[in-house]
Amino acid sequence: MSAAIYVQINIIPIIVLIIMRLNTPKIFTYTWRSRVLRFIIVLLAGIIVINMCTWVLDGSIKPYASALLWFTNTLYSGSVCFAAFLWYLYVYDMVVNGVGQTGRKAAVWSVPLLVLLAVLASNPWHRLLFYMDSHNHYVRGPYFVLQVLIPVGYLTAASALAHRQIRLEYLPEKKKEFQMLAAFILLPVLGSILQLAFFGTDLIWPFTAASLLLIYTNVQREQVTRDSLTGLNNRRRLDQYLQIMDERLEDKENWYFILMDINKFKSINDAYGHVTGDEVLREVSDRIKIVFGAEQAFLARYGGDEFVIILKSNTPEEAMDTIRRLQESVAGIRWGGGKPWEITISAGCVKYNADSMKSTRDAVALADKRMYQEKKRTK
Amino acid sequence: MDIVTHLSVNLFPVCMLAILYLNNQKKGTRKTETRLFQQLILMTGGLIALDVAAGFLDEWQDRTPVFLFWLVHILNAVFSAMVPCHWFLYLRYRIYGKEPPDRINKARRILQYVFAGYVAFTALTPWTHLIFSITDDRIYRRECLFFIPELFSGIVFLASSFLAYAALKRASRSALRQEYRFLMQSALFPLAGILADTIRADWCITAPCMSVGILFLYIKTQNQQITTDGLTGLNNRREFDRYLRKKTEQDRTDWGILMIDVDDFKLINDRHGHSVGDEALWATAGILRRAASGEPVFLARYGGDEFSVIGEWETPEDARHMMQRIHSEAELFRQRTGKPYSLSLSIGYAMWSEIADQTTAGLIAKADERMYRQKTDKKESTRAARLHRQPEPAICAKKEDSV
Repeated sequence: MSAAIYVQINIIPIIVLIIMRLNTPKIFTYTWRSRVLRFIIVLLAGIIVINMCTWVLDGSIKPYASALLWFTNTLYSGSVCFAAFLWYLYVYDMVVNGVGQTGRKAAVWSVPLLVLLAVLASNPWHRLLFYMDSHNHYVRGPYFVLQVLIPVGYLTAASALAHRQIRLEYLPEKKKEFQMLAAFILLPVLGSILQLAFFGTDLIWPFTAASLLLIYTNVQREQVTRDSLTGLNNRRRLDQYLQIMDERLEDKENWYFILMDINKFKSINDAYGHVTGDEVLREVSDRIKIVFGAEQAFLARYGGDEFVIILKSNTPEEAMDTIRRLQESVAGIRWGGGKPWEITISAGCVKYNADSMKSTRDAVALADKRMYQEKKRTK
Repeated sequence: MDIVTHLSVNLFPVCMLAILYLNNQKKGTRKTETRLFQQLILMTGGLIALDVAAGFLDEWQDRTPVFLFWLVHILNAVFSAMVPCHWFLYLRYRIYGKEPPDRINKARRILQYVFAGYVAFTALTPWTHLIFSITDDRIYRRECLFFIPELFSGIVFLASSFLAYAALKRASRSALRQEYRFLMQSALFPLAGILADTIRADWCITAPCMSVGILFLYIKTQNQQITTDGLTGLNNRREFDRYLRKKTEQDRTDWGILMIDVDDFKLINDRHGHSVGDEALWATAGILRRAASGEPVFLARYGGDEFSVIGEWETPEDARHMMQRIHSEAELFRQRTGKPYSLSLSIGYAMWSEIADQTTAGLIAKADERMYRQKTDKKESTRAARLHRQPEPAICAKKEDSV
């Protein structure tokens, strides 16, 4: 294959990675995780460039080509392994929901990486991994497979971790997130299979870039659609969801629209300040996640202290029962010390009905009315 | 170029388009903007498919009938013009979408005529042999006007870019300027691709470059949504905090802030329901946008029913002038629209130079204090008015019963 074709294949992924990198500083808050993701993006762009260089240089008879090839091939293998290691740390951090992996644990996991780096550094002398023949062609060494196995091992371990976490999560959004992380390895694998099947293609890195793009757009979408305080879906996502429901209202049998708010939230806020108010909101939404997470439901924060739940349930009694369970759970919230404040919530529940409702707006209005009725009753 | 190369160049862009298409689909298709974007992705996908199909035909030269060659190459020429036309319409919709539809339709009609003429011209190629021809041994050959498709799509992409540039020149609000800037840049990626293809006859990178442009549009649009409030479209609280921090770090000339509160919002919500409450917030954002039109100010939704304006006013008079404009816009809104609720705003201002401790918290607190003073003044006056004249509707009077 000529150099022009390599450029055509690889220039697009490189541009895409650069666009991704340039547009991250603003959207991701400055956390360890986002720093790692940004670094992986840059590293991948670098790997693609080095890969291009090795292909162009391979078999070249220009002076210094041999030294250059030794250098680029070593750099390539090292960067690939390092990127895979960082990806593993990233996924691990997501799984344990940590704030960064820098301590002793990270050092233990880095052992395979360090072993490979050490072998790579001494490779020109023992030639275990690869060497250049007299025509400056790349030749595999006896332990060549080490350079492949260690990065693939990291990626597989990351996928396994994410896969295990899918079952442990109860929110569908979280489940999807981990499914995405577990599936990260699939596109690179597909790329390498295609590369083996069709000789002369160079697909593994473009496919890895596509996989990374998938993760990136997902993180971005999460920032757009998730409420940062409570972790529930935000108002924007709710509006989108209602719109989609509107488009196929007929086949929404047995769906219930629930609107609820925290009673006297304004006085909690006034008496204890906004920090306590935020804490209450977080506590309540945690209860919502626990109670409704097991059901087929869409959970969102509507505004200030109001929540919306769209629930699939067989009978109205079952739906009301779930609401009652939530109310009991919320009434049980106490925070340590001082005088405990009883938190109660009012809810209005409406069954979707294609015959009497033109759009979901009607459901919102009706649920609103019912919620205020309940509020008056309990006062 | 052989088929393997075609596939390896185009597989990544196809993956990318598929990812964007699926991501975009989750938004629902009712919004025109989403639908247009979705169509743009599909058209580019179609163009890539035709590129690859042309590669396959070259591979199986002796087994394919000649008319398939004609069909694929004509379709390719049509699609490579359709994508830029759609791009133009999409940008036009994003820039002028809120204007009356007849203006947009007019531009669309003109473009449709031009496009129809172009399609007719390319469809006649088997007889005219002006753009390309297929020889008897099934080889694609460029003819004297081979550059027409490239030229056409290049011009339309350039026009799209220029459209956004013209809008950028006119815009004053920073959020709008940012949007127009990236809309302008998005059309440059395909232009680069067309240029590369024209220079190197054996390259085929226009369609991949188009998909990069689409990705650029998508990422920038998503980023924009992260910083704006979903309901009102103004900057959200996160962006407000960021902007305020940036402002305090670079204090050359004086600047100030307005805090704006919707009077008795809780009452509107309780009495008329949430959808009317949302409408009131939306109307307030509209009032602020109209009052701020033509001025380089920063508009944000601070929280529930509180809004904020940050501007580079040199004196408190300038800030008060802005307040006055907002009040008169609100008055206009009350007169023009017969809403069941009465929308009135309380506004307080604060200048950076008058804050002794130079903190943003102090600045906001000062503006809040003035806003509450205005609010209580208003209440006093309505109470007084009620004592002397006929009773006012309760909605403007009391706030204490909201808890």
